[in-house]
Amino acid sequence: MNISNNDTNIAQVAIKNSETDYQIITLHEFLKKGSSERTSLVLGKKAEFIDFEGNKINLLEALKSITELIKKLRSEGTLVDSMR
Amino acid sequence: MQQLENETTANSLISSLDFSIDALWVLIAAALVFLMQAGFKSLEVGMVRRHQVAAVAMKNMVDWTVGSIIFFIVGFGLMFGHSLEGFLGTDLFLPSNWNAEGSHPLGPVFFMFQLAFVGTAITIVSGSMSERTGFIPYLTASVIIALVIYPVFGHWVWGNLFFEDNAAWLADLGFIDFAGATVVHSVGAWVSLAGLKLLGPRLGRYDHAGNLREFEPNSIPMAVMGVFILWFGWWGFNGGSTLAFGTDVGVIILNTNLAGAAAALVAYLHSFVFQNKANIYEKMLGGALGGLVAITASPHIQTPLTSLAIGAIAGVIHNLSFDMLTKKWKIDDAVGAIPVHGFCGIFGTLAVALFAPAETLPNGRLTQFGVQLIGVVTCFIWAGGIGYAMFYLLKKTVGLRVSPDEERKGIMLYHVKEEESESDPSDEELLELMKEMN
Repeated sequence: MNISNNDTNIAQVAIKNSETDYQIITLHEFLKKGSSERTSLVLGKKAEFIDFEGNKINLLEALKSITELIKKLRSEGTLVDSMR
Repeated sequence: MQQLENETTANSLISSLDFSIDALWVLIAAALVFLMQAGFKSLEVGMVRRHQVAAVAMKNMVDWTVGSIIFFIVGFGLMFGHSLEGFLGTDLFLPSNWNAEGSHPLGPVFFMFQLAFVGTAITIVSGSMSERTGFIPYLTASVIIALVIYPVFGHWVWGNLFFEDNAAWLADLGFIDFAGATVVHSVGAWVSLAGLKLLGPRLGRYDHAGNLREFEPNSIPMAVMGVFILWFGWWGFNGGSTLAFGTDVGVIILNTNLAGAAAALVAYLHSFVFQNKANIYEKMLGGALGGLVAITASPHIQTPLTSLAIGAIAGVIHNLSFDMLTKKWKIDDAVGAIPVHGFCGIFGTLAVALFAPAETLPNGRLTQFGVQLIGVVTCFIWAGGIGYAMFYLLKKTVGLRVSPDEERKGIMLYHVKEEESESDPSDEELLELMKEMN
């Protein structure tokens, strides 16, 4: 089971690997990364959250949205399944 | 005695005149194919979004310059040099002597004509990967296409064009691809497909439900002009592939034109009646080009009627593959190059065995179909395989994709340091949220 596209307005995450190398991954792929890697990417300003129209989402809003999503999945008992 | 001398002189003059006319025609044809670069530029600039037009136009400039140099230094030799068992040319690198024994008499004119084809193969890749590919990977891809991918496959099919006694393993099987439906167009398409698979779609291309979101083309009139320039250039592309100015040139151009026209009309009607008019402009324009690609494999042996049929079927194949790629496979081809050059290229190459008069085929119809199929599959494996390996290596080293910011505002062909936003949250705020997330 993957995170449904209807659960959030975050479509993709752009990861900056270098000045010339950006990788576009899904939110699901981003959340599957280890927590330390996620934290490092966010604090290092190397992760950009993008909506379904291709626009940049404010970082705070994106993180709040993800936190809400995780809380919701936890309360439904589907977090572990969703992260597979 | 005097009469014999006069006849000899007259024959010599006629022969010299024939040669000059052939050379002039092939040079004009090369110029027409070169003009197709302007056609591709206009088509691509018309089809992409407005903020990306400068980068797309400049990439077309890069195609030609890179292709010109690399093909001269190495590519031409690999493609047309004396063959190593039909697999690889071994000389004619940095060619300076055009009069080698047994070589094609047109020499440098022949080179210019072939160079124009390389430019076409390269530019197909640039168009399809537009709007999000970085300049360095794009430049590298152009070099590798002109250096290895195009010339090696080209040698297998056309390796006996410069030295007639050369082996060329696909040509020796009887594979027919007169002007490059597979050699030029499919090679470009399969390299593109490999790149697009690794690159991913443009930002915002698919909605919540995974449905295709329409991106407004910059200018349909500009795209139409591009198609007309390409169409005109195709007269040289196919007409010049005779490498001589004979009576067949007119028939070849007529067949080429009929296939393009039939394909455009059928693609339009098919989209109107069966596809809810979705992307109808793109489909009519792409359909026309698909028909031109399809007939490119055999305009010299088709009749006007079979050319119409090939064009009509290509129009439908274009539309079906357009929807399949973008909607089902989620391959975001910015200018619709793969349906045109890939799928219509396959069809045109196979159609040689299905539509051409039996007496014009080197094998029986069924055997010929098998040979054509071998050529098509080989091209897919070679161009797609090397293309995939090349883009995979680029992705793992310099990267393939530009920043989201460049994708939204327009790709620069030089590096610009991104400005940091002043409204970025503090590290404390971020840490707090990240803790909640974990």
